[in-house]
Amino acid sequence: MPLEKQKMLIKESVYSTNTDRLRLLDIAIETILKERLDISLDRFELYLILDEAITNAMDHGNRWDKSKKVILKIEKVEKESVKIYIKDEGIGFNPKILPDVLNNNGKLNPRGRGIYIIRKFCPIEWNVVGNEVCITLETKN
Amino acid sequence: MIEINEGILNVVVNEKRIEGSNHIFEHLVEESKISDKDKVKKIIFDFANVEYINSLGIAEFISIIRYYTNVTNAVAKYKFINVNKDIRKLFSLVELGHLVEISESSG
Repeated sequence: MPLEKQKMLIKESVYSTNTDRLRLLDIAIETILKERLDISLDRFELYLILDEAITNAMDHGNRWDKSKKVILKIEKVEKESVKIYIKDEGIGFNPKILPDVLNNNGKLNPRGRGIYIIRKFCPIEWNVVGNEVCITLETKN
Repeated sequence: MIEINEGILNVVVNEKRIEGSNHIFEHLVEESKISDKDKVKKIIFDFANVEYINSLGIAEFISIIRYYTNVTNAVAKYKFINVNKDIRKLFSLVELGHLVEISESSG
């Protein structure tokens, strides 16, 4: 893939507080909407998956430790995709052992729905350590 | 705001955004201690003011359902009314309809 097709749209880091969570969410959604991408998600769905990924990083990853950062990177690959990277300072985890929230035992499990929601809309991958996710949104432009 | 009438607990959710830090569960449990929990047959949550909810917000409601299912020996029923289109879509995605009756109107 030629490098010029790839463009970094934003790199931003915030601490793990609810105020910073909302700020990072606003930055992320504005960055993506500004590009006027031809993606299959509506604004609510996009906001929701960004929220789930950022909240997951602050909650499960950094345990809301105010001194720990969450780093957001958004890259655009022209006529192909937008890649959203969200990294935390947690110890990481093994995505293969995610709870199955919708089996009979999981229905009353309060936790574990965040990743499930993201997966309903788009692919999500982890780095080897498990402290960085990459969400890929396909775009036609 | 919580009202109890003939075993039906009516709860108006005042928050615009429900994202895990609203303490709805704590408020509800504290407020409903004044009533006899065994008599709670149904809990109706009014979502008219709610514009957004995420998975941590859903977790709050699952905790409430778990709590009342335990203290009322699973006889209680749950209903969300006045739920907007986006939130209904999310509830459907996580199959919340198995646990809660969800309505777009106040009925």
